[in-house]
Amino acid sequence: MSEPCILIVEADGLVRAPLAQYLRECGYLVLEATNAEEARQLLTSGEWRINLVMTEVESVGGNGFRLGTWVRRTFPNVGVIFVGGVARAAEKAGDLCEEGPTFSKPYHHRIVLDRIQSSLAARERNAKKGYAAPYPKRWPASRRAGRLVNMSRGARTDLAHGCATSPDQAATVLNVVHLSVNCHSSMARSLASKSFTLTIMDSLMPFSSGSVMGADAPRRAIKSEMAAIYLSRAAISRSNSSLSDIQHFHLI
Amino acid sequence: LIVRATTAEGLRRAGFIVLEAADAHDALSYFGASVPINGVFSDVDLPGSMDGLELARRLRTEQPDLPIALTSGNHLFERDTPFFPKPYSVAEVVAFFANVRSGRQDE
Repeated sequence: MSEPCILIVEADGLVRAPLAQYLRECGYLVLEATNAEEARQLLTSGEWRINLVMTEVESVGGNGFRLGTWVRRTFPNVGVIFVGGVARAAEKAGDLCEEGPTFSKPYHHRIVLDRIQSSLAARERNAKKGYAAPYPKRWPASRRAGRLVNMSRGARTDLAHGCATSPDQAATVLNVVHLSVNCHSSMARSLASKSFTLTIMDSLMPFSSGSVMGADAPRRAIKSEMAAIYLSRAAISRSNSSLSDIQHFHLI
Repeated sequence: LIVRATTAEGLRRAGFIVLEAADAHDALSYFGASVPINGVFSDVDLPGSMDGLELARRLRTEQPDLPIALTSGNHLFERDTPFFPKPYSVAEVVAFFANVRSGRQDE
């Protein structure tokens, strides 16, 4: 475990998790703490060699600044970054990603921000509808698309609810499809421009909102009949075709 | 907490996407935001007003097929859920969810 280690301190999981996932994709080992006390425990446990603490200033047990001061005094070699607000956190994650140790930046930090904002909005919407938790167990009928046909090979795969909700399911369905890791938004544009009702989301972080791809998302398609295929990085790297193959997939 | 972070990291290295939650309400927050989740691993003894048993019960009411596994240092309570007595090995938990994953793939 030699990758640089970042500890994220943020109370809200819907903010913390996408940030953490993004930084993992940039090659960091990322630990998550939900408050200042957890952060202290992780730092003092000796289990990890933490290089940097990125802490929200307000939500973490009342005082991120106090935590930061403590870190700087106790672990002078550990860097501290304070972030106030989601946008600033995403921006900071983007900066860290630029300097990432292993991989190139997988996507723009604006996408992380979109993911966070859309999941926060979904939580609010669902709460208003009375879906405190968990989310509705079935996709609404409008989202239940039919079947996915690989026209190029004639192989036909039924999708029970018009979507694959796990990387494995997606990989099974699309086992000949390969997406370059960074191409998902341009692919979505391409699909949208062809009026395909198939949206493929590279969603390592399986936040399911249609705005995962931000401004690039084919929003009109998302509102209509569609299939959403969530592909993880693992699923993507296991497959071995190209974008052109995807265009052989038609939803019927 | 250390156990949570270690287990989460073990699962991530096995290819899972792992969301961490500090308590049951934190966990439910992910479901409340429509985040697709394919499995839950929870301690029975959680901070706050809801323990892991209640969390599992609530999740199962809504999603009977959701794979759930529990852990606890207390081995004595009745249980009808896959259970990992503490101290458990991360490898066993990874193996459990790997089985769940391959089961889904076979469907």
